[in-house]
Amino acid sequence: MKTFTRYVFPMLLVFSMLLTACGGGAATQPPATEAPAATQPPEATQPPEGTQPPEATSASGEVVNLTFVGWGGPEEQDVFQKLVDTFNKNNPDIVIKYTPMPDDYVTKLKTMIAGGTPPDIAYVPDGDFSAFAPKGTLVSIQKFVDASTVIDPDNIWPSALNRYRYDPATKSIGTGDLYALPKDIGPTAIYINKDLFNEAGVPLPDPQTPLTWDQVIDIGTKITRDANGKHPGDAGFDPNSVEVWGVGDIWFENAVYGNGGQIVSDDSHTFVADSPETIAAVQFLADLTHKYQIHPTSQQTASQDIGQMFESGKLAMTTNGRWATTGYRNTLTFDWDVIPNIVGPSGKVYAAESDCKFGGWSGSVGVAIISGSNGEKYPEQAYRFIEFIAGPEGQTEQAALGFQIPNQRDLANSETFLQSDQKPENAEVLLDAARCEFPGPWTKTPLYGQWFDDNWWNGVWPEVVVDGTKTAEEAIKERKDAFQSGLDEAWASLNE
Amino acid sequence: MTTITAGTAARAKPSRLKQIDSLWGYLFIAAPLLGFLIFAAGPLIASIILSFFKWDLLTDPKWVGLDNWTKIVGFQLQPEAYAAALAQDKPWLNALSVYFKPNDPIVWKAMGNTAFLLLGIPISLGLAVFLASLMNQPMPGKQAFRVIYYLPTVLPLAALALLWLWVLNPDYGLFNNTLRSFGVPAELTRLNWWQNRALVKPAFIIMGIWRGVGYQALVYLAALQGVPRQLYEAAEIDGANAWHKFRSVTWPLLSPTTFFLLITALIGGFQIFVEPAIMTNGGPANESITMVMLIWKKAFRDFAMGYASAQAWLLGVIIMSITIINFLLARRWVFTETD
Repeated sequence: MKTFTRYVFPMLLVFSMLLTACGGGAATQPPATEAPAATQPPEATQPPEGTQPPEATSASGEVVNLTFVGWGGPEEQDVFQKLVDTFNKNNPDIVIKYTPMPDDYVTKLKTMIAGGTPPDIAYVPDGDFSAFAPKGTLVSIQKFVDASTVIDPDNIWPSALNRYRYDPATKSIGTGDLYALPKDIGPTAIYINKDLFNEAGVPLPDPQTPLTWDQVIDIGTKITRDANGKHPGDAGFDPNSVEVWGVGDIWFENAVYGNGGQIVSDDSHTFVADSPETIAAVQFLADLTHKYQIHPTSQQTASQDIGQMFESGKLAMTTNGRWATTGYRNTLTFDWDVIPNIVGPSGKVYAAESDCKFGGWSGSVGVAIISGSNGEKYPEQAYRFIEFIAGPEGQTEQAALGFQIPNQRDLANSETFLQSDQKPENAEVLLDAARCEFPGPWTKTPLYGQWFDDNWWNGVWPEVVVDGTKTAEEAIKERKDAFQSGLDEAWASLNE
Repeated sequence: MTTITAGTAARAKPSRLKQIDSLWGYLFIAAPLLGFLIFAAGPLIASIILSFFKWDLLTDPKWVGLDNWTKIVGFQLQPEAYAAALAQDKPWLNALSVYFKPNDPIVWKAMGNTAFLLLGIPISLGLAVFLASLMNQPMPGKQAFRVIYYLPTVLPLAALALLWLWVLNPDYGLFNNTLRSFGVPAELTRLNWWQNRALVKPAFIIMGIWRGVGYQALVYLAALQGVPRQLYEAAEIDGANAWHKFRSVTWPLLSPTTFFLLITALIGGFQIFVEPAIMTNGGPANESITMVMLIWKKAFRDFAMGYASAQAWLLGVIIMSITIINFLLARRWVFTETD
């Protein structure tokens, strides 16, 4: 006993202190469980339910273990786990282990890569593609796509597919080999509250004809009313007691592209937002709040943001992506639908195809193979999983959830997506949106848009649209040099 | 007995017992020391070295020498712009700000924001002394007051952040409703403090004072109770009123406490991060971005690890310098027992 208290117990204390010192400091260590487990026995990664697949072997005679990471809420995680299980069952020579990382995905991914334990297959959002591809972080899958019987590139929305192309020779994004396949495309459109339109006696917009700016102002003025039933422009209209607003979010890309303006040139090297079309579009957005009073001010959105206002039936129209549909089907208590994005007076539209009547922003997430991982050693197997996710089978499964539009155009035009027994009734609007919309202006530029964020969201946007203290023309022209030099620096960083 | 003999022999060589005792001592401090070396000293050294590199986590670090540093603290002179501004009859200070064009204006903005937020410290300390004096009076319910004032310090910061977002809310917030009931006109009470460029920093100052004053008041209370009553009585005999008593007796005897609270508040104030990051994300147009927030943003949003390391070291040097200056100045105003 004396020995214990004198020697053994203090040693235990010392070692336990050592361990706590280790535990306390390791706050940001990359999760070791993500490491590709090339030597893990297949039993450990079998799907929980279902039959044990026969331990068949691939042509090389061994089972390939690959790790797959992504993010998503519980429904998305469930869908992907189901897809992984199906794939594992049908491909006995490959075992995919799916690990969702819902928080801080990009930081975690980069930390894993930096730490030398990259996952094999990973989500790559289109905005981050420009950070990964030029640095050689992704593996080219072009040759697999060319030889594939599952993926037909012509059947996939070009605006989605081309985001994941990169040409190392010219260091440009949007052309060249494919480095990822889209797992979804999320176009944006305007969601309207039909009940508010009917209450105000405003005819519902035609889903085939995008609204013009004048029409938006007219509709907004008729629908926006204060506690006394007065509209903007009436004597005694009190903007502080507005009960119903006409216009909510109109994303700036939607307004700018709808007026034929661009933010950067086609080759993404020149800042061109000082063109008259772009300036007019940004000014229109500012005028909605400050001149026409049909859009809430930043004070008014302090208690309820635009999304919440729309969901509680206080806002007649707002932009949102296709992904909002699932939530809206469950939560909205009023009659709603979608209409196309608005178009400006210039008569031009900047869109992905020449017959598009409107344009705007669409987001997308790709799935890619990470360099330096087990996936690069077995690219053919890793690609098979990617094409499963991006191919008709995987897309059908994901589309059933309602989050997105299938990659395949023929699938999208079918009941799988259109789901005509559910809202929105005008689902074809979203198909046109998928066809016509572009990614954000920063996706084709390196450094993930730092050059854009600082000057736009912390500069032009607060001054012009939020506060209304400067005109769009002044604010954009003032900053043109800053934008351009930031953009030049971003491109130069690729050459280092 | 053994110690006595060990004592005389100690000058030549420590006894076996002393050696074993020392060994145990070293063993016990070995664990935290190892922890410090591996998880604090190691990364510190690594980060100062990293500040001379450019690293985005995806590719290997690249040597860039003093590039990061010149970008952070460097500026260019623009004599022509200065002359042009003067020619336009702009005030002298305005023209001067055009003369120096910083290489990275956001760094200076963050430094300016952080410095502005430090203005809350003297206000908070003054309020704390006042509260402590009040709590020092004999009265029922003193315990309750101490709990109430100290409570904000122990509540989780993230919860307080959400709370204050609502307190200063223009439509439903307590603050604005109270102002309105006093008849303050609607233009002022309808302001959204957190989205208003001029008001967002004062809002953070108010929140910071509310949170910190309790802890400071409690420390002052303890110090106040250590002030000998005879000094007050002696002052009263000399005809001192309340203000004289405070200025000549209370304040000097509280000065060591004030010094301690000032240093800790400064060090903490320079590192404010959680509140602006959660509540305003750097505020309307970078008006509430602080230095630590900028470092975090550069490291984990823009993935410029070398640049962020340089900024972190700059902040560290600033904090250290201010602390040293405070220690040096302390001799002038901190009253210690030996005076």
